[in-house]
Amino acid sequence: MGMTRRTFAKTATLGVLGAGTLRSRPLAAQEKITLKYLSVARGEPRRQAILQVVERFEKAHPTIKIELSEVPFDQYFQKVSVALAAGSGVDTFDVDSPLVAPYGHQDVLLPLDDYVDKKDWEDFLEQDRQIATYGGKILTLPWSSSSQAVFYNLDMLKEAGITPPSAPDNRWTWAQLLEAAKKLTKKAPDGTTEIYGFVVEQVDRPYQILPLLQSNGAQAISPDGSKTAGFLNSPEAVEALQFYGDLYNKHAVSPKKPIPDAFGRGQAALFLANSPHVNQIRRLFPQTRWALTPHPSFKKPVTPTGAWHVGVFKKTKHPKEAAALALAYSNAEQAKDNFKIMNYTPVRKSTFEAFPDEFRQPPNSLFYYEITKTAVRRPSTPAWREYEDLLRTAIRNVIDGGDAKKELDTAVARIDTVLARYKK
Amino acid sequence: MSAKGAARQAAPYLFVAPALLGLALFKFYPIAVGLTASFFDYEAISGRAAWIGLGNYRELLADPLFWRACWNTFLFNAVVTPLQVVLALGLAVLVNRHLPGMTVFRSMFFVPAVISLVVASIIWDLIYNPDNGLANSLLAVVGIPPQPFLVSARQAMGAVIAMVTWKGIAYWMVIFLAGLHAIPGVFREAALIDGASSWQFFWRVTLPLLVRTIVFVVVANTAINFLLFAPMYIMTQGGPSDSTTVLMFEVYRNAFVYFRLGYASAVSTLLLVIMLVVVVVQFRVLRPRVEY
Repeated sequence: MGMTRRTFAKTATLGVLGAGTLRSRPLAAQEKITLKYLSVARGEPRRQAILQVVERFEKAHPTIKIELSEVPFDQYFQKVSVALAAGSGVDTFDVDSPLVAPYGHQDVLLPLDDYVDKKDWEDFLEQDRQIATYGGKILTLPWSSSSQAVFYNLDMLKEAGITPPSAPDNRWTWAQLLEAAKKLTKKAPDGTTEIYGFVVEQVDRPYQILPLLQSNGAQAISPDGSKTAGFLNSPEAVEALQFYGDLYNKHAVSPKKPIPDAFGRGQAALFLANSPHVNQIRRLFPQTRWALTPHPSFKKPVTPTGAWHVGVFKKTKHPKEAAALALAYSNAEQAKDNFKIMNYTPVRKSTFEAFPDEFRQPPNSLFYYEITKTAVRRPSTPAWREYEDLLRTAIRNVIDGGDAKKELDTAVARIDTVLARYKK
Repeated sequence: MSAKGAARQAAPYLFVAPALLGLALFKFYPIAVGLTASFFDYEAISGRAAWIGLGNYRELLADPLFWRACWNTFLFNAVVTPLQVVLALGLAVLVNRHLPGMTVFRSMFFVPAVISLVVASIIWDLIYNPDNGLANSLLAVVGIPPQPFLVSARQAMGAVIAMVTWKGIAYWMVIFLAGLHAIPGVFREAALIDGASSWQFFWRVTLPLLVRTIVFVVVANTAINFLLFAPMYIMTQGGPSDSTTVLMFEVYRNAFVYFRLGYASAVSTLLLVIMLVVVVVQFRVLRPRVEY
């Protein structure tokens, strides 16, 4: 009993103290507003850029506090969607470029036309402006684009006597890449693989794999966006995806379960990845000596593109401030810093102009070439979320040894059901 | 006097009221909301909802993936629940002997139960890694070639079942142990005096007297296994080729990947109905025939 009374007394005292603290807090604090910024966490260089934006913004706007939530890529879309569905918990957030259409369709993004300076808007590249616009309104501000190339380990390729092409006009075909990968794959005495010939950054994501299908002559979706049957499961699509699956099964030059940082750690010889890996590998694995060879192709070169935009939640209580944060992240000056820190492919003409030498020599000359000549963006469809998940499942299954035709037929049937629902 | 009588009558209801309130708030209300949502085309992110009656049910009954998920759920439960019950009971009988060091074994067998299911799934995912996982290393010792496990449509379900069984039996073992302790010692004495072997004693005396515990374990375990989702989410994402897509995973995918809350609610409503039917059958079949 005595214990209970003492505990009670302690709690009561704490309560009184707590109330006292609350009352003594200066009134000015209540005028401060808090912006919730949901950002995708993709490891180091990028984190620096985001922290820099937050710090600069808070300094320029002393009455605004930014509550930054960094969410890992794999959980990011779900986290954002839950926050949007709940109607709170987010003001400004990173938007993956193909999701502009679904978000636009669901009417959850605040149109930014009133906040964007018309002349400044023209500074964005034409295709990025298109991606950011839905229903005639500017819904997001692009802050990065992306492009891919094959990173190769200089020492391993030299040892194997392989000299990959450096110019895009004589890029490797996929068959040539496979031949090289076979030579570069090394088995340990116990039968396990020590070095994989070839690894890709996003093994099962349509971002990465759709260009293979398109390079072989397939299309992602019908021109009017109403169906995928006959396009995404065309013989060309099946052939390309089967080739990709064979890398993991028939030829076993790629690991079925991704190995983190395989290329940087010297567990892979060729690595198909996007431009930020330039800075990431330099920073995390300075001992790895590498160079770039262009993205391989089947019939015609097609490379992935698109990346991150920033948008404002329509139901935000502070539209002006939330839009200001989005602008702060994507404005011309910050865009230059973002590029230096992350090496994402720029989305502004002024960024390209600010670093002319960067884009005339490797590695960035190659990304510049691809983004202007061979890049094909992901289809703009309100059903992107389902499209991506269903196609990703098909790709995953083919990596696991499934038949490309069967998997694509299944995915196409399911995607078309979804597309029909959106048309209603 | 009558006021006292009324108070006396009301007392039991007052005692169960807090529990009922909790049940109503956290179980019945969500079920009612889910049931209502299943009649809507409910798009979570925009909040748009349109009444479509049985539209969701019609759509899902026509979806081969739903039937595949039903079959997978059935297969999973038909194997896991009996396997867990038999192994847990066997383990309980084994560690119920009074031998030196038995408490150590009991504690060791209980360890899987205190590991979070998510952590266990991640660890088993590593164990099953076809390239450098522990499972293949162990198989190599006895001369069996490397297996694909989770990346094979044929083996994935079996691999998940093995992990879930390992994780589950520890907990049910403890429940069975408690049940075994509750059987009065006089029965054993009487049986021994009558000359029963320990095998006969187990089949004729222990098992019939343990039926109440068995019913609890079977029903509770069925409910848990029907709703299991984390291992599939972490280890296989329902694949390869839908081979581990159970109904609960379909609910998750529709609710939190496609944000079709109405459709997901319809799947979970049907899942609830299926579970109810199974549990009623279990109660019927396992009705205790002996009282003590």
